[in-house]
This record gives sequence, structure tokens and C-alpha cells, in this order.
Amino acid sequence: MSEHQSASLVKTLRPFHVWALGVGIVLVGEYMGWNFTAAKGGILGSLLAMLVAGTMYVMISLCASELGSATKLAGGPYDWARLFIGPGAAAIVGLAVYMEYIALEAADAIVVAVIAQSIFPELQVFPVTLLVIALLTFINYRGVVAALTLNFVLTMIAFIAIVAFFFATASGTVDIHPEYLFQGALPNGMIGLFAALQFGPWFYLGIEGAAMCAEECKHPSRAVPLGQQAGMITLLIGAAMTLYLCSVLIPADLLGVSVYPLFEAAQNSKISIFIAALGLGTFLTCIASANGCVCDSSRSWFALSRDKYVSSWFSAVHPRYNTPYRAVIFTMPVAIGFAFSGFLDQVITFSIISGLLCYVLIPFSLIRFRRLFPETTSKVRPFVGPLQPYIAYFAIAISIIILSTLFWGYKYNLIFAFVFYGIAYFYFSHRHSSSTAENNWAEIGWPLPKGSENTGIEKEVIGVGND
Amino acid sequence: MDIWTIINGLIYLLAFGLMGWVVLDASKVSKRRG
Repeated sequence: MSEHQSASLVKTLRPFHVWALGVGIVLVGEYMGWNFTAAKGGILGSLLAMLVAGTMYVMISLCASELGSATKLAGGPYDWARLFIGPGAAAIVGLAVYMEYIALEAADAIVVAVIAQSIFPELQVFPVTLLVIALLTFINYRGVVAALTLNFVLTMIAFIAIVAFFFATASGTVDIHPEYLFQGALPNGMIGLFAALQFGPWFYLGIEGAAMCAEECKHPSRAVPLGQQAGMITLLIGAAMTLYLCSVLIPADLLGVSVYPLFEAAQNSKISIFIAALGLGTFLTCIASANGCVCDSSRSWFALSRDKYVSSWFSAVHPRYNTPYRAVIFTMPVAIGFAFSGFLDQVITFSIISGLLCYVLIPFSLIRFRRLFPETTSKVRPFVGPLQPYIAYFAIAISIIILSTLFWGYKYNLIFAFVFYGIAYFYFSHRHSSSTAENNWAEIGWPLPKGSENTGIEKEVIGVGND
Repeated sequence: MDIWTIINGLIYLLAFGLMGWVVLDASKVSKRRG
């Protein structure tokens, strides 16, 4: 056996790494981006968007935990779609996840550079962006444990900054303005409430990526559900605190257009320690997000390559660091290209649409998974989510509603995304034969799925009859 | 030369240095494998 074949991803990650990967990618959305909900639907619009998107993400993370702990594969949503839906859906999810994370990485790197420039005006954005991308690629190349331990530290600091600011505000240390809640409650009427939903995913966008390190976890059946659900609880608490802080410290009309709302809220509190903490939090959370995105996008590309959806050259694993090193390096030119394409806002919108498309296909994978492997074959399901598959159906419905709200303002992005993924679906469906037929369930230690067992029994019966 | 020009230059150098290191290491590993 060659070195190339013998090297595999190292199994060293613990639940806190899974938490750090998921929350690290997402927390940046609580420091910036979510506040566009206030521009559309005011404070009530933000609250509704937070609750609706939160409900959807809790359901999706329950689906992802069940699928991730069962399959234990690096491709995450891509592998679930490949195993339980088919090659066309797998290609859509694999590409969507890749696009989602690589675009976020590029955006995060630029924001880090812009923040650095706002502190030191003589610094140039281009070299700092390059340095952030190169440094994170280097760290991820050297090993996943170091990369995710770094993410844990950065994310923890950023989250503690929010919690400390919240308790200081709630205890009366900071002067609040409750009148802002009523002044900007519902500026655009009921239609504003509906339109605000399109920015709701910012609070939680990317948490499903936590399951993508399953193949590198020591005990994936425990680490994935624990890390992901803890991450989701962290984000729900963070989202509620962020919304409260920003809505009582920033007037709603200014909140809707703010670039760094939590930092601005801290500035309005006029307490220097919180200004420094939330400024640092904004900076660190961008780095943590970009770091998690390198990890997830490389795993998605690695999984696509391993199954020959893209060149199998990318599926090599480093013999010393046990990382998918070619897939990690490949994130670098693509992220740099996105960062300096001049179409970054379009790319980010495309990444949100890609994410929402995944949120339709992840619960659908779970529905198919449960049909193929019902409760009785529990050997393959170390974690069983509650009220399934009903919450999977509900998650699909909410995802489609949020996706439809993008028609206001992002009509052409939506059409382009559907055409792009439609072509991908038909191309890969044509190129690969049925995945169910190709899947070797025994190889991953699973029994035959429900339908196949019956077919096998029928064949045996027919065979006996013929004899 | 202005101090900030030097700092920006050093940042470029560091970024390309890191990129060069990973690419060189990857090509070494690939060569070893034949």
C-alpha cells in the first residue's frame, strides 16, 4: 500500500473542538450582518427573524447531529446527500457548502484587514487580507487540532465579551434607552416583518459545518451531537443578548445600517473597557470565522475529490500532519480570487442562497436516512433526535419560506443560483449512476438498507423456488 | 523610506513566505510519493 493510500485523517478532536468550529464560524454574524433585519422590519422584525431562523437552525442542527454521528464522514452535508439522496443532490450540497464557506472566508479576511486599517490608517488592505488567508491556510495545513484550538480561544474571548457586556447592561452599569424599542418597533408594517426574515440566518449561518469534522473526532457519536447542540445553545443565547444590547443602545434607524452593531452599542455605552472588549471581539470573531471556513471548505472539497466529483488529486492526505493538504492549499487561491474579484457582495449573497439550499437538503437527507434505516437498525444511529422526521419536514418548510423572501432585493442572485445548481444537478446525476447502488454499506459497518434487504430476501426466495 | 511602507512590505513578505512554505512542503510530499 502506498503512503498516499495509508495516510488518513487523524482522529483527535473532542466536543469542544466541534463547538469551536461551529460557533467560531457563526459568531461573526452576531457581531455584524444580522442588523439588516432591523432596516427591513425594525426591532420586531429582528426579533421575529431571530426566532424563526433560530427554530429552523435548532431543527437543522438536530438533523445534522443525527446524520453526523451516524456517518462520521468529513464531507458532512455532502456525504449525507450522497449516501441518502443521490449523486445530483450530493454535488449540489458539496458545491454549495464549498461556495458558502470559501466566500465567507474571503469576506472575513477583508473585514479583518479593514478593521486593522481603521486602527492603523497607513496599513494597506491588500497585504493584510493576503496575510490572514495565508496564515490561516498555514495553520490548517499543519493540523486540525491546532486550528480548532485556536478557534476555541478566539471564539471564547468574543463570546465572553458579549456576555460581560450584557450583564453589565442588565445590572444597570450602562445607561439604556428603552424608548428605542418602541420608536423603531415596526417601521415598514407587516411586509417588513416578512422581508426581515431574509437576514435572520446571519445569527446562525454555518453552524451545520460543525459536523464536518466528524471524521477527525475521537468519539464522533458523542462529540458531534454534544458539540453541535452546545454550539446552537451558545448561539441562541448570544443572539438574544446581542439583539437586546443593540436595540436598547442604538436607535433602530441607525442599527439597520450599522457596520459593526455590537461595537457601536459598546461605543454608545461610553465605557472604555467594553469598547475595547467588543472591538477586540469583532476582530477575533472574523479570524475565528475565516479559520473555521478554511477547515470546512477544505473538507468539503476533499470529500468531493475522494468520490471523484472533482479531480481525485485533491484527496491526498499529508503523511505527517494528517490533513487534506492539497484541498487546504486549494482554498487559498480561490479565497484570494473571491476577495479581490470586486463582486464580494454578490458572492456573499450567493453563499447565503447556497446555505439555504443546504438547509432544504439536510433535513431531506435525514428523512431518507430514517426511511432506509428505521429505528430497529439502531446500530447505525448512535444519536436519535426527538420528534423526527416531523421537525425535518418543518425545517424544510421554514427554509423554503426564508429562501422565498430573498426574491425581494436578490431576484437575479436567486435565479442565477438555481440555474447554477440545476446544471450541477443534471450534470452529476448523468455522470454518476445511482449512489444507493454504489454505496457499500458493509464497508462503513452498516447493515443493508430497508429496501435492499427486501430485495435480497426476494432474490433468495426466487433462487430457492428456481432450484 | 516611510516606516509604514516597510511594515506593509514586511506583511507582504510574511504572507508570501507562508504561501511559499506550504506550497514547497506540499510539492516535497508529492515528490516523495512519486
